[in-house]
Amino acid sequence: MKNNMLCIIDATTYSESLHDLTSYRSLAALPFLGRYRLIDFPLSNAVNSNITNVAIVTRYHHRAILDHLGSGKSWDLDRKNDGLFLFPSELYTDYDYTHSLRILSNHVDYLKRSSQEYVVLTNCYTICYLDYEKILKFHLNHKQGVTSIVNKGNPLDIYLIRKDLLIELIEGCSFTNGESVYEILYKGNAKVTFEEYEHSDFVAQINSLDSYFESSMQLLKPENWKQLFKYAKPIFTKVKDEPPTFYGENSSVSNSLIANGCVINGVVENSIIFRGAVVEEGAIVRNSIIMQRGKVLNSSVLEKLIIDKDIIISNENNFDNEYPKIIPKGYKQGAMINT
Amino acid sequence: MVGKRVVAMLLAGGKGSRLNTLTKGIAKPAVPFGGKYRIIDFTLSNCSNSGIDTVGVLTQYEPLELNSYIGIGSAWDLDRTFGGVTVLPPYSEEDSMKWYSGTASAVYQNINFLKKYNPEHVLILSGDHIYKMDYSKMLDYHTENNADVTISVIKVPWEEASRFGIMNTNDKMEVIDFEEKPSLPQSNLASMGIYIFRWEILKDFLQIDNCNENSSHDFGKDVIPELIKSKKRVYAYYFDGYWKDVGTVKSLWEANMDLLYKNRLDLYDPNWKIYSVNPHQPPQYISPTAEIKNSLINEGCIIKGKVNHSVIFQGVTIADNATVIDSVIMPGVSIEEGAVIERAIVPTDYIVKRDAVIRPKDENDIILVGDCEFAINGGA
Repeated sequence: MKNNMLCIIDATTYSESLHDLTSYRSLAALPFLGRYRLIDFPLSNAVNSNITNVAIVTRYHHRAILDHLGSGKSWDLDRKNDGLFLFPSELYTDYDYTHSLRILSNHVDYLKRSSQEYVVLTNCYTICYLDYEKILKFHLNHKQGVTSIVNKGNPLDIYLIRKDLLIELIEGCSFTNGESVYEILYKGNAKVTFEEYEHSDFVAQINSLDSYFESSMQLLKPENWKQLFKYAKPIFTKVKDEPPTFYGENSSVSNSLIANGCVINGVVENSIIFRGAVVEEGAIVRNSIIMQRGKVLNSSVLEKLIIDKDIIISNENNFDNEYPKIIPKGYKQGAMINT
Repeated sequence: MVGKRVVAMLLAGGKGSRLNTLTKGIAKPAVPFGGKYRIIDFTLSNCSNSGIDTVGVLTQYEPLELNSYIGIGSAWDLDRTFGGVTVLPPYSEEDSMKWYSGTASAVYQNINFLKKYNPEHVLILSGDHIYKMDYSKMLDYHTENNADVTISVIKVPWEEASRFGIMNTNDKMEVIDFEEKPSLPQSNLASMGIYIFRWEILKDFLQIDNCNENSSHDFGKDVIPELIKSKKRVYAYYFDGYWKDVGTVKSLWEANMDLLYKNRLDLYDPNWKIYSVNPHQPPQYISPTAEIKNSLINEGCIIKGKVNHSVIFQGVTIADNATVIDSVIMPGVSIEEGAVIERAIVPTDYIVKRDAVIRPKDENDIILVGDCEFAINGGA
């Protein structure tokens, strides 16, 4: 059966409080949970709902996101018909606004040319498992203009809408430059009536440093990650061909999520370790997040730290545990790993 | 048409009967290995890393899983427009229908595949060895010697030499004699089953071999001795690295354990990655009760028990108070509470029941679970 939905992912969002982690990459490309980037979650939801037509609106720091997505092969979106479409724009450089409505309005022809009749409109920073086929059934049963997905009553800024209504809204409205694509739904058009779809499973929205850190720690609880990782509906990401992780004679790991390609010889507690990271013997990592290929040298003690990728932490570092702190990319305390 | 410099022919049709139930319904090269790989990943990755972009994979025994695993070769970057991976099963011709009866006959039957690419040299490989080797260096050696065929050799312990095909060479590494499993070996240079032929020579000698009714159509037993007899330029290429034939349950277990020592076979070299088809599983979760020492663990595992000196594949669950020592646990296995597993290989998707004890009676043995009788106490 052919799927009658296409998906538009608004990857234009910027968060000031995550600046240290997003000064080199867009929020959509922010590494998350050991082996993913934020956009993997909405993308995998679309693909796992049998959507084969996905458009991504991007606005700044394109390299990381383009490198990650490639031809869309990792998500099975390198298709002859439909597949992955990218709508990048550099026209609007002020980060305070998303401009995604303006960018999408330049691509209405894409919507018109697509054969699907319904559109999933989603942001790039909501981490949850959604079955859009189920939501489409709900939408058709309730006969409202727009289905808004909510969690405990809070809207997630994820919508399902008939495509011709979305086109009509975009073409019929006047807008200023900075608006996000969702705002078009709230301009008082009489046809836009809402029905709420409650998604009660685990949801995280990454819009600040605190929510990034807290959501990561929340997902160390099996009851939470079991709501995100369904065996038959995997979260897809770019393949790195890392070997399995090696745990040495003196390693001690507890309550942690560890990706592939790591070499763990030290102590790791309540932490998330990304692909290819090294924790040397004598090092202690607690309540922390170590991104790709990070290296924690002998006798370093880390507490509540987010270490961006490719950073070597040498033994002079000791950090207080008042609040999560970011060690940003390019940090010079240890030498950078040559990548 | 401009030909390829080298085309690889990878022999992957063997049954691997000494691996017992591990090759029930699955070809030996597709047997899981090393926590995330299958045996054939090493040879295919070697090709890709050596810059060889055209590989024929000759399959025969139980090819379904192997064929679908190889697919169009994208996992090894071998989905190329001109070249790439081609799976070559036996087929029926106008007037005959033949299975591959030996390594040489398998290649002979696919001579049209080689003609299509018209290569200068043909690299013959086997899909059941674990090693990392830069074939481009062997090819350079082959062409520098202006050899007709170059055979890769490895030094084996003298006491084991009579189990191998042994090359007797002169001081220029020219092979003057080849002995299959000699009772009194004169050298300890064993053939690794890796050959580079000049294409013209291979073509001629496969024709000759095919017409010889007394031949078993095997490269080692028939074709190479014929080349030496005909005074062709046969050279030995000395390989000084890790190489292991994983033909038996014991050697498969040993090769897995070797991965726990970086100085034996290093999987972490970013310049020589071993590629495989990715299972898209989440990071491994290590619970507060887990104790892990000297082990390799792959994505999608949930570890709550004790793991020591073991290799754990993707999607394995090890429950509280379960103990795994000196073992290889294949994908999707579930080990329930209180179970103890020592010196065993547990096959894909097996469930080890609560409080079961799997441990060989003789401490030098390795148990292949699901294969033979073993001590199992407790649990249902």
